[in-house]
Amino acid sequence: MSVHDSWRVDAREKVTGQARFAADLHIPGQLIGKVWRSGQTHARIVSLDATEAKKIPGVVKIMLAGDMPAHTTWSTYPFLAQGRVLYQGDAVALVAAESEEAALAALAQMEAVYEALPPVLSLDEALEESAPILHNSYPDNRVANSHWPVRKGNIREGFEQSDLVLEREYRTSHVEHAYIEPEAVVVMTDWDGSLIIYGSTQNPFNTRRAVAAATGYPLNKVRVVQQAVGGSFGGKEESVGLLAGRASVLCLATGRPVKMTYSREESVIESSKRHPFRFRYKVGAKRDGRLMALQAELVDEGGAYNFQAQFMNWRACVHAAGVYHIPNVEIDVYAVHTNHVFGGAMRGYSSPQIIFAQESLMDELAAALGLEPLALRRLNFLREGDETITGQILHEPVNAEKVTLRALDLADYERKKEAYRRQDPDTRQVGGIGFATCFRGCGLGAEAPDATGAILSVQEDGSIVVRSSLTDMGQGLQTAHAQLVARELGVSPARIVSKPVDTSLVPEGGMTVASRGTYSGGKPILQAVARIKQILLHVAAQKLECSAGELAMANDCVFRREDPSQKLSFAEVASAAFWSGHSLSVTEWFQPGPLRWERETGQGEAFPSYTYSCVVAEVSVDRLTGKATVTKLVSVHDAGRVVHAGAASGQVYGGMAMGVGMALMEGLNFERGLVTSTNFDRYLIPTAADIPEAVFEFLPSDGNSGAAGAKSLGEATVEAVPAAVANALAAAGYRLRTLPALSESLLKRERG
Amino acid sequence: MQSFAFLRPTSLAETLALMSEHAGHCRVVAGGTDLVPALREGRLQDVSVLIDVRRRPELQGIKRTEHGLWLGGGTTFTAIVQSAEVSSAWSLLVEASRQVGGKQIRNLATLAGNVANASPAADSIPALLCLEARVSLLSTRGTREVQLENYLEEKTTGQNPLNELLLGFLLPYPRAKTQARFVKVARRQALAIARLSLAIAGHAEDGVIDWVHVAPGAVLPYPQRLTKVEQFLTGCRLSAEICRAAAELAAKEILAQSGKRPSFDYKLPVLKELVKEMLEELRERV
Ligand SMILES: Cc1cc2nc3c(=O)[nH]c(=O)nc-3n(C[C@H](O)[C@H](O)[C@H](O)COP(=O)(O)OP(=O)(O)OC[C@H]3O[C@@H](n4cnc5c(N)ncnc54)[C@H](O)[C@@H]3O)c2cc1C
Repeated sequence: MSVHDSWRVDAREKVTGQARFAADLHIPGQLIGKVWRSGQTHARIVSLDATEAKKIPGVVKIMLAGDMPAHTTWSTYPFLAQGRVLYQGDAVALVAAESEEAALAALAQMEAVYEALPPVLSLDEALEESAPILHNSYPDNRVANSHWPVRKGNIREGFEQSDLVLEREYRTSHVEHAYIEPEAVVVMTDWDGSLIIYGSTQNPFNTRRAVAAATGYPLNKVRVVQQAVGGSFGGKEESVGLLAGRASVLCLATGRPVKMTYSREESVIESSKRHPFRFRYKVGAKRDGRLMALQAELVDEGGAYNFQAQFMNWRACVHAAGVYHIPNVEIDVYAVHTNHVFGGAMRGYSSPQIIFAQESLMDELAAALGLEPLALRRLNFLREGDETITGQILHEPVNAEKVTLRALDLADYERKKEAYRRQDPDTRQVGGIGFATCFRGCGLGAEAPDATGAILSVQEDGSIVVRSSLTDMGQGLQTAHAQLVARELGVSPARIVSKPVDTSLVPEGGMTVASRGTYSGGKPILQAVARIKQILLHVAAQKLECSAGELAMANDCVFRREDPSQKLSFAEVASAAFWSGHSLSVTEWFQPGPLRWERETGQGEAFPSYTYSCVVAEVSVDRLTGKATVTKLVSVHDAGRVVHAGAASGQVYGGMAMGVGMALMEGLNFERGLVTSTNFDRYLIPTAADIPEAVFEFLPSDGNSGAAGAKSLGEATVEAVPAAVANALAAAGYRLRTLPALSESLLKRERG
Repeated sequence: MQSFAFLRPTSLAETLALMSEHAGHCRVVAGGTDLVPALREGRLQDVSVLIDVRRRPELQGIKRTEHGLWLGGGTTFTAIVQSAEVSSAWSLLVEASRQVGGKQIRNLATLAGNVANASPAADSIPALLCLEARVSLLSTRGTREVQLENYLEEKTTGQNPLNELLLGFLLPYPRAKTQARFVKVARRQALAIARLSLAIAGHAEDGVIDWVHVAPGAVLPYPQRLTKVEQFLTGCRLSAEICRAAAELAAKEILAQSGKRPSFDYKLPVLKELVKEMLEELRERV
């Protein structure tokens, strides 16, 4: 690690508690807003009555769907439900009051009559012929645009040429993001009547769209200012858009600032979840292990409303076969509606689920063929020049095998595997070691243009402001961007201030998703740095009476390479540039070239670059209680060139923890469609004591399309963890095809 | 969260007077680790007064007395875990205390709070039952001392009017060569409520059980010793067969008291295995 890698732009503020989160804001005259939710799984609204609630002292405004000034929905999600409610989180009324107590008292006085409708409680139920129809425009309960097929080669011939065909079904559960800070917004009007929204949001521009939909305002009269965000992981998207839209209509209806914060329970009930999947895989291979054919149906549960499945299922179809060369492929991915909370983006999007299924399948196939897991993979790994299942020839370095061999080496895999095979099966604790390898398309790929912007401005005193269109939500993006600037200009990071996104100040640069923050978000930053640098060198050259080409920038100075004693301080150059009329404020935009995609066959160029990862897990199982523990995780990631080793390591540790949770304990519990685990006393995530020993390495590589050679990392760190844990459990004697691997399931294996 | 008055009495007498004055709508509060979540979830709608006993010196202290070890009701689990006195002869309680919550919870949570809350899953109770704990109770009507099992029964059957202060616990000196163990089964390594727990204390001489106490957690309406199992085992020569029979009997006794619950599909087979394993250990250690 270089010296630059131990700082973070917001470390001091976060550690000392100075960082201001949305819930920390108090605007004079503010009202407290609350949501009244249906609490119903699926019902017709017969009547809503706010008469008594309005009488509570301190209650200023109560709004029903009919009182909404513009749209009642944003995309498919209702700000306030009308006529029918599709899940328990559906809001049916909004309250604004002088105090939290008055607002809550009002909620307690609201009266509703519902008529229960038959619910759809699982993705299997949604697919039944006779299933209730949840959205009239989708009588088959399929989520709009969520079907993504892949057709390659000839699947029938592929199976005919196979010596062994294996069919398996795998499933995963609803996983909660569990960010430490629940959703919060404060909304007020500016002197010109436009709206200002301070919020805990992952995607301020999308929040702005939601507010515009709810209020009928044009986008230029809605200003969303991101506050420090206490984690998001894909979660502060739909729920924050809805929250901001609701707070905005209350603000306009009352003429007062409105603050709304969710309790943990509300956050769990309304915020999106990792989509649960049902995977049906059929794989064919030659006796020697060569993969010949893969047929798969991947169905995910979209929940009551859904806008994300269309995107995550596209990513799913690209990654459905893993990092292997398979000539004949037929894949169908689609999502269905149910009366559960909606699925949404969560770190890894669809990949952690898919890799669990597909890498379990590889291990099961290896066992069926009598091959070692590594041998089967080495025979089939994608290599440079190979074509993926979606018809893309890989021209950049393909490091699937390299990361795997390195990770297995670091984990001492071969020796440990043998030791575990020799362990006494009758002891109470048994162990196992397993691994999973995967790749991840960097950025948005063919899903959407991966374009984004940034503003860089150097002040006359040599201090610097960086504004990206993409957000920091705790992952350290501002730090990575500041690092790029500091490195290119040869200045210390202390000069740099990174500002959170303000939608009225920076160009809309799309969502901060798909691990594109550094990979793509770094591009306009570097472009801006290059322009500023050119100006500064030009000015310095005049002062030092030489040519710009003779100059270098380092240690907060501009100096002649030949004679470093001839130098100017960075501040001197900045001042000279400003006072001679140069612009030191630069707005830049990065626009990638278009990617080709054919929807009917799922063939094209999915992503410009791929990150390669391998995770090795060791587990221990208590045979008496069925409790599994992950004792060690080793991971190796080829993420190109790492920009900031400190921030990157943080991603790896966090990804491991999240992966352990998904593997062993996380899954929302429902009772007739209602969530029973609405807080962290029942929804368990790993504690520090559950996090295993962690070892990791970055495998540096070049020749990719990322900013400064950086590929995607944030999501890659979690993706293969559940799969590796599942394979380690299988090695210990417990092949589970449903996650999480609860003690109940392990014990059933033990006995059955 | 509902609003309430928070009173901090300056003497034990004042504490008792306040408890009596506000009987029916007050609670004493020690660490607050059970009470605060309950208030937040609206489970204590009738409570409008909290009486703070956390710093009452009369509820503090760990000391040996003529009759056994005295533990003030306000003793935190951290204090128990760190106490050489408790470890010396009552390590069963240390073993259970170590597994309560996480460090921050153990710093606040008290033994009296754990017992007064009388959760079926409370970690300290099976251990205290096996150690034959007595509780010392105080109210404006005076002092009384009862066996822990009687206190719990009164508490859960509603015979106790709630306004007695739990002053402390007396753990009698264990009999010679007592063997004891506590195990907890939970979904994660820390901050996890027991899905199942089991405390066993006893002594076997030449393979024959002299006496044994068996107290499971999280399977009964409130923690109790399995007296039928204890009676069955007393005087028995420990064998694999006897251990198995005792395990079956334990499951039967639990089913008789709790009825069939969905979670028992998992819990009872595990409990049986634990009973067997812990009895086997008793046999081996002799
Ligand atoms: C995150 C978390 C994890 C937890 N994990 C565990 C666990 O692993 N195992 C476990 O057993 N428990 C656990 N608990 C529950 C709780 O911490 C314990 O039951 C604790 O011992 C309660 O003690 P307290 O002092 O906090 O009680 P309080 O909350 O202050 O009081 C609890 C009850 O006892 C009464 N009370 C308190 N002191 C007295 C007294 N001196 N006389 C009479 N009545 C009294 C109160 O009126 C109240 O009804 C956990 C709680 C939390 C929040």
